Amino acid sequence: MGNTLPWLDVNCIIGSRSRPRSESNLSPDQIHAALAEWGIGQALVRHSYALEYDPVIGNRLCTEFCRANSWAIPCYAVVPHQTGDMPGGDALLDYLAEGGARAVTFHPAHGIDLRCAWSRETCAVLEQAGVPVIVHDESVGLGDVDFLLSRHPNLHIISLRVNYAATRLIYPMLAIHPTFHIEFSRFPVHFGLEEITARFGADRLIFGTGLPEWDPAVTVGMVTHADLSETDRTIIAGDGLRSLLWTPDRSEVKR
Amino acid sequence: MTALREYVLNGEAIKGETIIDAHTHTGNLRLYIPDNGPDGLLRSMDRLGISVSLLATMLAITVDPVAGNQEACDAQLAHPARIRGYAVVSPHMSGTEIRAELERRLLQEGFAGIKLHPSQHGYPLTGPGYAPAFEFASEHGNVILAHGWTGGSLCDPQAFLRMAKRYPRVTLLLGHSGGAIEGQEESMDCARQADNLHLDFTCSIRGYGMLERMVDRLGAERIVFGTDSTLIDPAGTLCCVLAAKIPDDDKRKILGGNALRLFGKRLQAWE
Repeated sequence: MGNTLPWLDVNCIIGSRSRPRSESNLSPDQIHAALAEWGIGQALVRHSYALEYDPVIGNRLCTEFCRANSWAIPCYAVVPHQTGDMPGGDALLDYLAEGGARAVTFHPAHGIDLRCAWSRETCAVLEQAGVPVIVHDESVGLGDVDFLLSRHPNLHIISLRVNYAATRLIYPMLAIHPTFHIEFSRFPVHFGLEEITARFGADRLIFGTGLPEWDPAVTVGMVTHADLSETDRTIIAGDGLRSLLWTPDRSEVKR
Repeated sequence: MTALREYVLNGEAIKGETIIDAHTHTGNLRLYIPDNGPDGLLRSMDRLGISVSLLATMLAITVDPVAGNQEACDAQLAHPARIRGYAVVSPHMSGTEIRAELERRLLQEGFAGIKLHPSQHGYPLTGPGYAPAFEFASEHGNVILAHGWTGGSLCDPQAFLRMAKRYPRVTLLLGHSGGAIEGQEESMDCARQADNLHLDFTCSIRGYGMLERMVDRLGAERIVFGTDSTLIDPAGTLCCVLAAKIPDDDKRKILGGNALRLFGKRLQAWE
């Protein structure tokens, strides 16, 4: 069953890390091999340099890596344009398109606050163009996500590694915000995949491994063993995310 | 791919193996969790091929140990081949009450072991309030599973090491292998210093390569499979074991063989 699913990993980081653990300090080739073991053919990748060092340099490295490795799809880190190191407005879309980015991430370690005024313009551009936003639950809490979605109801946000203990936050957000999605590698709620699929739809659940830090077999096994239809399983394993990834309209980008 | 590893992708229930989940619950821990009664527990077990679950109810762990233990007793009576209870006692009970409850559950009703939860009880594992439980387990050769988590003084791995040395006749299971990645490292260090201290594999945090590291540092004999079902979907933890790059024989020890050895005759009724 799992061999035939169209796996696409939303949660994968390449590049050297500030605080590596010896067992999980994997090279990109080792990450690719770890994905391939489970038949995971594609991954949306963020670059460690973009998250832990410099977003512009990391984004460039991410593009270079993905151009050389067809299994990897770039996800760019986005910061406020007012500092001048990254473009804003429509030029941000050009920047993403030229780098092949299909999604973006916000990372508060860059010294940003998503509730401040700068995010209104940036998120409006992403919302209008249909660029999905990936955020890690440990750095962008559900309260911030709720704030952004309330202001930008058509912006698709995927929260990575949401905590299983947060069902009383997550269920209302799924009900209120149709564009809110969760990656469930840290959301192993008992019959949670089944219930969220039944209540809110399979497209709200996005498969992610957390490689190289976390064990991909956990989320693979959750999907393959869940009591779901093959249609829903296919959406969760990858097709749901595929439908969210941004494909730039060149005429729009070059306006 | 080894035979057991194939189950991760094929999505089938495991057949022909003895899988013992040594860490399960029913009921609520304040959170919203679907289908978390005994029927839900059995449904999860059937879906995955788990043979038997050792159950401490959330009611027993939180507000009412005696009533909660009765729920576990009822589940055990209703499903004697699939569910065995843990007797939960609280340090806020008197020593006399603790001993009476343990005698009833373990000597008369055939519970499998004792469960302690220092975090829920707000009380250190090493404190005198838990001493009657350790003394009872020492007298009767019982297994104690206690919640463990790094970073606090109530039940960090060092507390387990102290209790394992203080009560060498007690088989002590270090809950969640100490919790986060740092706790799992610390738990391995502690277990290497006390032969009666074993790691409960239950955890919602599964670091890449961590089980292989545990087996390498400690040996598969010291790791006991548990999932936190019905709080947690057991599929993830089960697949973590099935997928590990260790021999299938080691997986069999972790998934059931070690529990059968440690709980001994307390699981024979099930066998």
